[in-house]
Amino acid sequence: MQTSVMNGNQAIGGVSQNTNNMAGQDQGSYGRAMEPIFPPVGVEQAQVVARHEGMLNQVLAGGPVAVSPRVRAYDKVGDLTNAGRQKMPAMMRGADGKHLALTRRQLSVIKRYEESVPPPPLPPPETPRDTMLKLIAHLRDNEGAAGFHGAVPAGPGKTVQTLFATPPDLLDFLVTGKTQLGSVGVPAGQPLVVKGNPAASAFVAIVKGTSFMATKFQTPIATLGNRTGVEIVVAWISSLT
Amino acid sequence: MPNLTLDPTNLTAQFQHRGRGNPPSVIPLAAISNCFPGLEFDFRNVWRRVFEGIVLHEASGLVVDVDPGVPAEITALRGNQLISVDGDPMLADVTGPATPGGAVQNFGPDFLEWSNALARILSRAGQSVRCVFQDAQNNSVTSMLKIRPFFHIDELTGNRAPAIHETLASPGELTQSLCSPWQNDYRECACYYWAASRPDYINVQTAGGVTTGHNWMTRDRSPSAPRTYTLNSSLLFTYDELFQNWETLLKFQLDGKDET
Repeated sequence: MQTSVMNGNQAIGGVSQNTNNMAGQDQGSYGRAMEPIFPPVGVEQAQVVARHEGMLNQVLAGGPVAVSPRVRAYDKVGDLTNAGRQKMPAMMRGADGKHLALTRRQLSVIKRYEESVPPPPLPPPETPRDTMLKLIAHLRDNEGAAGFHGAVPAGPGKTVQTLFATPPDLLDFLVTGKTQLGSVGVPAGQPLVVKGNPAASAFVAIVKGTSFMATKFQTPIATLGNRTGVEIVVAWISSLT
Repeated sequence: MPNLTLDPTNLTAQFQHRGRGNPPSVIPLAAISNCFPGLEFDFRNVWRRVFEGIVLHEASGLVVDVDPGVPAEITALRGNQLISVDGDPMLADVTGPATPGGAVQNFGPDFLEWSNALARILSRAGQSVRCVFQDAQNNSVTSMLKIRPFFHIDELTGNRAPAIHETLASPGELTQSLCSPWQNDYRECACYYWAASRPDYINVQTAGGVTTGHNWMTRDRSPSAPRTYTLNSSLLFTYDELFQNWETLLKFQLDGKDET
């Protein structure tokens, strides 16, 4: 199946208006907005086949899957929101003229399989240290944080900038380091971290300050559960003994 | 030594039979509702007489006829719309945005696919169930209707047999609403319509995670032709060509490629 055409992507094969698909039928039959069913960049046939083969191989290996939440219920065929149209099987038409639905028996077979395979063990809960390591990587990769620390010494031949390459080393530095001349708004010689006591830790005062980098600690970070850097730092210091 | 075989006699086992060379999709358990308007037969027709006394439209649930001699209460159902059966809805609201990213609105009710909508009550053949209809004035009308048996009863054994009961469809009814897919509808209705039963994207090659290939309906699929999928009508077989020569133009696909 040419999944890009079926999805409602446009300008394929010299055809500027491609409506011979469920996206076009939704508009023609019901007046629904004409727009692709999935984001156009993700429906190339090779990608779609690879995704489905991966899922099938997982089942053939007896592995756990969670397919049923993504399958269209027979009585939800009228849900023409994008989320509804993206349910499986997608981009095809059923005997009622709406989006195709598996039979109730088929869906039951899928659920029976899912229930028969124990779910994988939950990963160990993330520790405050794990989150701090992710925060450092985030600041390094997305906020250019390392470059702001090229002039901050961190031992013989090292700067804080170089420690950003190995986040565990940077954490060790924070635990043992002291504020230096130029630390924003904090006197020199103060311990950056006082274990178990965020209020006494100079590093907390720095990230709560008004410097440019401090503002990066005060904004919720989507990839870290919408927590702020300040929250993550405080939780980490509180966990130290 | 004779070639001994086991012949399954119970209904479930017989439905699991798959003839040699046939894909898994041929067994009824694998069938999906992608049968409209039908290649060999239009399965929707099997539901038209599922209730004794009335005949439904295969595509809407409208009562189009009643059996001779039925009570006046049943005769009065003609022209009514079936709404629910034993509490199970036969309609669903169609909802979605009228503009991209716009608010979700209700486009009104539409009919559900029969096989799924009636699945729960089909095992109750011979019993009467509460059917709710809507008349032309949008009034609800309730009637108790008896469910017809789905499977033929073997006269010798008295057991259910893997054939459709003769009361559900008269001769010719299962094919009366067929279209002409090979000559007409495969071209007309694209792949989303026939995804389970026709080739679409063929001679596919993948390079760098991107595919190129032909539309099964493209006239020039020679090795020197650009491997570009298109729905450009001028590059596809015409209806005339298909009507006259479909069986040689529409090639079998072997491992995703045109037979040679």
